[in-house]
Amino acid sequence: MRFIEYVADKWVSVVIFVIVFICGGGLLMLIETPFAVACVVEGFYAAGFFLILIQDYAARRGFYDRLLEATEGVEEISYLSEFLEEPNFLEGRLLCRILKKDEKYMNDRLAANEQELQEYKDYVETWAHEIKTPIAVSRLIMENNRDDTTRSLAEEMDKLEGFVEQMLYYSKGSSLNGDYRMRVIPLKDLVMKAIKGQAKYMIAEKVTPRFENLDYEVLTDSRWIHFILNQIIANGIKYHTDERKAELVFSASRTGKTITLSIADNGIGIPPEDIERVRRKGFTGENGRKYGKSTGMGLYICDTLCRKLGTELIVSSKVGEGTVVSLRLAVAPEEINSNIS
Amino acid sequence: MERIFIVEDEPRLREELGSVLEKNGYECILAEQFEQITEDIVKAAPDLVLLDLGLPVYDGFYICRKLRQVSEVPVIVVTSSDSDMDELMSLNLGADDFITKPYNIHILLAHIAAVLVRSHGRKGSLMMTHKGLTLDIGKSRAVHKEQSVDLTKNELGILRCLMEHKGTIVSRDELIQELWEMEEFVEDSTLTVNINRLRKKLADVGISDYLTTKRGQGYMV
Repeated sequence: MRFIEYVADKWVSVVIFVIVFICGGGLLMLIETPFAVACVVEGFYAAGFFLILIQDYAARRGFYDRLLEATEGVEEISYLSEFLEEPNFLEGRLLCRILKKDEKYMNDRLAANEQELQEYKDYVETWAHEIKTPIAVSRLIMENNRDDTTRSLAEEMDKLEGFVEQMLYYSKGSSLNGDYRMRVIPLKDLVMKAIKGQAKYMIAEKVTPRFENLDYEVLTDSRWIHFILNQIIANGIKYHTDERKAELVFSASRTGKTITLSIADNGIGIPPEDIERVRRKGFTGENGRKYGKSTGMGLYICDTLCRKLGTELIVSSKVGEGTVVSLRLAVAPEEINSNIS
Repeated sequence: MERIFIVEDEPRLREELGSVLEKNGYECILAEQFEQITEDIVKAAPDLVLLDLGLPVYDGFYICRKLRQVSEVPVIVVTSSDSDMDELMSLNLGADDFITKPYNIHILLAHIAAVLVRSHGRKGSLMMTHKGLTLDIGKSRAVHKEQSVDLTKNELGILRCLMEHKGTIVSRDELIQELWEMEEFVEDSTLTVNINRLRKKLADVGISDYLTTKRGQGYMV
């Protein structure tokens, strides 16, 4: 708070002072007070006014400057009043009281919402685990009664399971404490496991995998990365084109402490105006509309999980040529050590 | 015949799992009550225990620990929660393997076979016989009457898959998937080549028409 601003804010007081000053001076002139005496009286009057103004300014400045500073510097502004000292003027004390009351209400609401959200998430996770038993039973029933009907039911069951997984990881990705555990894993194992997970879908759509140079070890969470790879592969299969033999190429390269795993398809590609938005929650884009059944959640969840894992996810594409999704994973510590020694 | 003790509280799952395993050549013992489950397992003396973690009365961890005090029987823990903690606990308590629900039945069978081979130290004795043809999986060889023929990895995979599902049609896609499980990422055309070679090899040992084509559906033995 600058003095000029403060004075400008007090313009009514200043106007009153000026009017009273002029009227007082006029009155002193009328009753023929000696000029020197009039000056002294007016001088004292002016000095009194300015001293009150300055004192008031000084008191307020300390309080409000601290409040402003706290507002700028503190992230959790719901605890603002904790940074304030009880001010020595009435307005400040009133403001403090209101602020505290407001904060208490807000924080209670926040805590209640967080609690509610946590309970909801716990329920979602329990549910996702519960539903696995009926899915497992259904799969076994199908295995025991193999025919065309159960075979197509099995495909639906795959989708069902995929959606359950997606929901589970959406819930995991948005919780404050992720339950991930970083481990050293051979990149090739990750890719193989993910492909096997999508094998049925890939074979049905006649998409073949190819591998280039995957002999690296990376530091990551195997379950999370498995889910991420599954989504990326599923996208690669879904948006294939019948114009050429569909392929998914898995390749890796190393730069410094990062290993970039690229999954390249030769599918329909993503239009340039959509590419920046593919990671947004619920974004389906032109391809999603054309191909249908797109929830717009897959890549969004992948992106959230990747952020938590500290893995960069890059999507690049050319319409009619294909899409490349790259994951920048951390090199396993052993590899770093062996390179130094 | 190897005997598998299934500890699973969901009756439908237990029964269906039992019949899948029986179809694949195992004998199954199903637990119906869980009060003295450890004693029951010891009494039944199975070759392997499939143990669910979430059970009434005692949980899987407790049973696993109890069992390890009196028996060395191989244990595969089956659970629906895929947390690292469960896996770690199970393996620390002496379980031999860990698999999460909902499992792919072929993966479960592969785990069972692997644990059995490890615990019995037997390899090469994995045999399957159907309609006079014996498949020696360990040696990758098909035997018919006194004659035998070596099979390639793909041919072995195809024949094993067909024999596992003897009497039912196996679609081309399922065969391809079986080969992908073995990390042989073949295409449709390669499968045709493999099937034809396999047919020729079987004819060489005097058993032609063993593998029948069901037009538009797949193959069957």
